[in-house]
Amino acid sequence: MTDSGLSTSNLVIGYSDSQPLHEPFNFRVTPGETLAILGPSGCGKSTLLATIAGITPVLSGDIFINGARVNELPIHKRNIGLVFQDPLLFPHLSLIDNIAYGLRAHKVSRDRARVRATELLEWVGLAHVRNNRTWELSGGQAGRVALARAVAPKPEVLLFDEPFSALDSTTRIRLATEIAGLVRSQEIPAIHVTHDEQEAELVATQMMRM
Amino acid sequence: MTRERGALGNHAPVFVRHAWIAPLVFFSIFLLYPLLVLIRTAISADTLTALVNSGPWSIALLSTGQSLASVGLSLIIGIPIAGVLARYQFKGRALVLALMTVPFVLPTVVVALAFKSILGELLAPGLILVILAHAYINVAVVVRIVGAQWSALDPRHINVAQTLGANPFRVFRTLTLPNLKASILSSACIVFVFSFTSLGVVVILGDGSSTRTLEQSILRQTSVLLDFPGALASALIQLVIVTGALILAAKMRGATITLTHTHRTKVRGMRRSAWVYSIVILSALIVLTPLAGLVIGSFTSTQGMDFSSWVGVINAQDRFAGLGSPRAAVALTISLALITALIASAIGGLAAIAVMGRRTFIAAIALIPLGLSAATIGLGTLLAFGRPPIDLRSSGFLIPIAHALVAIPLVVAVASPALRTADSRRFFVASSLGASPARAWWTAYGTLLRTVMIAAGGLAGAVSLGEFGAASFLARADSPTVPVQIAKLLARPGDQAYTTAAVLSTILVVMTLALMLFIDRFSAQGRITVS
Repeated sequence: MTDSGLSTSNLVIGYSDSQPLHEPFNFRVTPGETLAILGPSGCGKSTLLATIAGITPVLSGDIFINGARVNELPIHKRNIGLVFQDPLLFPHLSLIDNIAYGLRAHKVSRDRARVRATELLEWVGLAHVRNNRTWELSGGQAGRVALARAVAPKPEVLLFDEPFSALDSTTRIRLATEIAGLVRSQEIPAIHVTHDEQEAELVATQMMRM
Repeated sequence: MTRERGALGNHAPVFVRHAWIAPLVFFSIFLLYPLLVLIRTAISADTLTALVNSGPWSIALLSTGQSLASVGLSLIIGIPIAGVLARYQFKGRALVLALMTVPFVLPTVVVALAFKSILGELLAPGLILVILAHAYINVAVVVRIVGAQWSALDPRHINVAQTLGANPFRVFRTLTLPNLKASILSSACIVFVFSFTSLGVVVILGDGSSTRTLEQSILRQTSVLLDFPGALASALIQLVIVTGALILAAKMRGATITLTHTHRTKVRGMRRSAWVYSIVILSALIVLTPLAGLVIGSFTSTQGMDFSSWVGVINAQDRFAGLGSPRAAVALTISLALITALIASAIGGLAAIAVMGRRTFIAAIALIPLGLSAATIGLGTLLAFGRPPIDLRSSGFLIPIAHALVAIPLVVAVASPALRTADSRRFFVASSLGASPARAWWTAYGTLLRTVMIAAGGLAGAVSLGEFGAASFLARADSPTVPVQIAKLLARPGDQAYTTAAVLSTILVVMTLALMLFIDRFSAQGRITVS
């Protein structure tokens, strides 16, 4: 399908029309591909992801997901998986309920959602800590749960905003490899923002510097 | 950054290590001894009879119903305002937040009179007026406690939930509300305590039956019926219920998220702007309408515009037999507030220093007055020091001491956390540079302590300005404090008494707000949270 994946057309980002953060973006990420975006702090990398996710409004231009223009679509209808630098797990929910959250929002029954969440917890190698509270996890473990939560509702696009910058290099490399494998196997288009060249090379099928 | 805080152990200078002595002596003489005298005077077989009697229990039950309704209304009004102030950054936000705090710091008799001014002709004295006034006073508690928790919630959590497919209502129900639950319950418990122990509002706006509180009962039993065993029974029941609610509030408070930084976004979009600004306008109207009614009432009589009450107060005319002149009441109230501020900041400050040195039992004693009613404190003080062999009534110190007891829990609550924010490593740096323990301690804590004490003293002064329960026992009939004089004036018939009460209330509002602005200035300098 020619329109599949994520694409932008003359997309201008920023917080006011008079001060765009960057030249207009024109890129396309097909399913199974990862676009790694490198750049210094404050150059607008995170704002680009926030704009694609619908958190920050588009100044001008268009965003397409699988051929559909999503500029005006509210965040909760875009079907995007978003992983921030902080895992941002919901502290009042168990690990299983964190992962099942998106499935429940998509009207999957509680039982089925929990079964699927348990499978995903096993997939990220954390079945042994399933009864832990969110604050009892290490940084790497919390990052994996955030990843499992993001992919649980089968998103059409995955966005990673410096997801590993708080982790040690060994964990970072391992998780980056796992994510690259996931994106390929699930055929999801992904954008991966980082300032770490090594990490970018591990995950990227295409690269952009800002 | 990990910061070593708290006790300096044996490194602390002598005066810090022994800071607990002065508060302990003060509390022993002025709190524990009067309580013992009160219990000894009142306890008898009649106390037990009064405890098993249905009278105080049925008042407690009525009062619980009234308090729960006040809690419900405070939450309904307070939660949307807390949400708007916590989540959005907009011009005038700080002003709206300050405005929302105003009703809470106003003397309760003033609020009651303000409600009488605007709703007195529409609603007869009774439950509805009392609940409305309680909600008006306590919305600030909900806005402050729930708002602090709300602004600590990371909006990225909401973004994550939305990207997972949750619509705004689902996000509120499954994410925001569960994370606010502890703060909502905590604020509900505190509003319950304030409504349950209400006196000024129920005296002025109540109907004497459906709105009665145990506090009002204690006042009536001791000053009208002279039924001391009955009053002790009422005080004991109130103590148990209030302590239970305060423990629950503290437990809930412990379950809230610690505020590390606040997250606010600009108001964007038509619908959101309409929601935010309509809440802001409504909040301002809610706060200002009763106050406007009060000010207008101070120069309006049945004949129209009438400034005679203002002239009477300014010229110190003594127009009400047996009540003293209003101007003298204002002067007395200011001087009592100043003495209260000095006593409370000194004793409360030393208690906070002692708590910092892990003498936490001082904090526990300092908190006792929170569970007692102000009327009980007033009565105990009167029995212990208002008659031979120790008669301090003419010394003028009884009211400030009782007011200080009421204010010290607030002083400790403000000063302790503020002092804990000081970095104790500065003490060791100063010591290593050759400073004596006292000098090193002052280097590490002195500036903050000075700021904290001035702000806490101001807070104690504000408490004293509006305090009604203890003063109604301790003030002499011919020289009452302003809140007591307002209540007495309202009990008299005629326009003149009413407008004079409104003039005094307006003066009290101005004094209280001036004091709060002063505290706010110092709090901002010392990064202190005053509510």
